[in-house]
Amino acid sequence: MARNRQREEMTRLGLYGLAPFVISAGALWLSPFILPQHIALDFHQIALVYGAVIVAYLSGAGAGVTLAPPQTLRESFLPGQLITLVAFVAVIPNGVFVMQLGAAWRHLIIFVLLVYLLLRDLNATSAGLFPKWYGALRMRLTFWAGLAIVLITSRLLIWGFY
Amino acid sequence: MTQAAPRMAASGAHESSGASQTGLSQQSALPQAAAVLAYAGALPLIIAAMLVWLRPVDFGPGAVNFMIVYGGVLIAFFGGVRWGIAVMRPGGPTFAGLLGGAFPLALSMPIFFLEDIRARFAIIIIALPILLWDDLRATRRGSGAPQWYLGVRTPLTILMAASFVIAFAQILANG
Repeated sequence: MARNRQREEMTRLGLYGLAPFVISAGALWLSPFILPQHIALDFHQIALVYGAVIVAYLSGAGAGVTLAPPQTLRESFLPGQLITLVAFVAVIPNGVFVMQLGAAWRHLIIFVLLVYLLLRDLNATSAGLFPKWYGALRMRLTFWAGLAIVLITSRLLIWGFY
Repeated sequence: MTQAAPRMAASGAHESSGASQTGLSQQSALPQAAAVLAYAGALPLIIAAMLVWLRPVDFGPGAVNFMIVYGGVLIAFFGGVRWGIAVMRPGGPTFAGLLGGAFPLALSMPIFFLEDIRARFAIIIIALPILLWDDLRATRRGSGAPQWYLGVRTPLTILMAASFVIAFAQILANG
């Protein structure tokens, strides 16, 4: 009973969390028909920053799981820190050092990181660290987030932002 | 998040004394490695704060942008750590625990989008100690991170918050 409630709550929170991706993808494809392009491009920024924040959050969650009792640290913080650093590179304005990243490339980085984090969590689920429904939920959420990012990226490419 | 984790946790109670000693030596070495990595993560922030303070005209604007994005990502990361610990709580996570983990996520978004740089810095400077206080409280209740993590996290938060305060002071001084 309690587990069902827990599952429902996490599913609900997860689905709410998809909203910025889905709304942004919708806004980009509704432009220029319903929304002006400059507003649609604001939504692309929201999706990009939100994606990076989600990646940092999931990386932190991975580190948190290794810290939680009765678990003890068995994996270094390094993968989580590196992933967060790459997400940071995807959102830093004007690029890093001499590297100037285009909008589409930035979304692509977030997409790859989300897939990596999904695989990490599925691995942990099959090892018994998480319940099976959590792995299924992560798969479902990453699928829809990934699809939204693909839609956003494709729209940006059509407009020549790469 | 490794495959070995549940197996090791399950076997922990039945370890032989030799295996326990090996485990203990591994555990004492790991926090040190985690501490080194944590401080390495703070280094770019300290350098950026020094650039804002010492070279406000040429490197300042870039370093300020760097610090804001870094701070936003960092707050989301700390929120994730809190969430990960809440999820692994024996008996499952509470809704309050999940919300406590999700709160920094919501808090980090305005850092990227607010127009006023001072407001963005203010959010980071306020959020970092609040997140630390929440972690300390959870650990005291026995539902948080282990003591050694907070032993790293506390000085690290002070260091990071100090970096933001230094840069913030320079921004305020320059109007």
